[in-house]
Amino acid sequence: MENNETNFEVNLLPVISLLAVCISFLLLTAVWLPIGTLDVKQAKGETSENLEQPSRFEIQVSSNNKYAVIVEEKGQKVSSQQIVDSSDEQIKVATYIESLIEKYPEIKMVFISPNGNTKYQTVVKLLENLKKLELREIGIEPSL
Amino acid sequence: MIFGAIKKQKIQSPLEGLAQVRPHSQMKQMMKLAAPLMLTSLVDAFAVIVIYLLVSTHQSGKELQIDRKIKLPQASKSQSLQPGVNVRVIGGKYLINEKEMNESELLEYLSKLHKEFEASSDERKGNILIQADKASDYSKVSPLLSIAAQTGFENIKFAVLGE
Repeated sequence: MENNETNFEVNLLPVISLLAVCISFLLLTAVWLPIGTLDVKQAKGETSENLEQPSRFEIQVSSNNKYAVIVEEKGQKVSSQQIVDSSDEQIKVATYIESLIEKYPEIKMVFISPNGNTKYQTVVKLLENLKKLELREIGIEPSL
Repeated sequence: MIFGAIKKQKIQSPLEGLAQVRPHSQMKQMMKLAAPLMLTSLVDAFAVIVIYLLVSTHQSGKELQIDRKIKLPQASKSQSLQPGVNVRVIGGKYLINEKEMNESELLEYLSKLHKEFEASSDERKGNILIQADKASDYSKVSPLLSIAAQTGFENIKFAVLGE
């Protein structure tokens, strides 16, 4: 036989069609907004007067971008600093807390105490900044 | 003679055939209308896109339904979504599964839910996911924290948009 060819062409058109359908489906069902969470663990259970007060930082936040950073060692207030920070990134506050962490390396606990009029975004940003500073024990106080 | 003509007109592939002008002409070199498409590289590119989309879909984890009225705050350092009771805060009202509740109803509902989760060892046990608008006041969210603490939901998760 003259034309005994072993080479043949695979019909790629159905493959392309199938892949195009897959791409369309995946594009339509893809999640484009990456949603995550900032976690806070709340204490539960009974309070006891005999329990030793832990050392901690307390950050009071008010609505007009004012922050009060208080250092407490075994229930005693050691220092208090007022900071006005109007930046969205809260750079001044983050820098000050970073310096406190260097000064008091044994303190791992932070307590956020926002005013009722504070914007939720501000509280979340502060929470994020504290997490960036590798502070793991973060508490948040409900406003009164 | 007839077989010779057919032999000359023999087309190697359908695409190549479509790309030729006057395939029955006697010209030695047939004029090409267009170069044949490189389908192999197209298939490769499609395959890469499909694999990328499959992997990114798999990594995105759980989905969360967001209310159109809520603009979540942004945060770059966030954890991945974990199962929990999803509470939406809209204008001082709390919504769970489209059911609107006030504070006392929420307290009752969450207490009941926590007992159910404890009994069934549900993976949502102790987890509460809060969705609130970034422009809202903290006073709208804070009662929820108190209620969560009272009802045994100790892991508070604030939903945020990753940057």
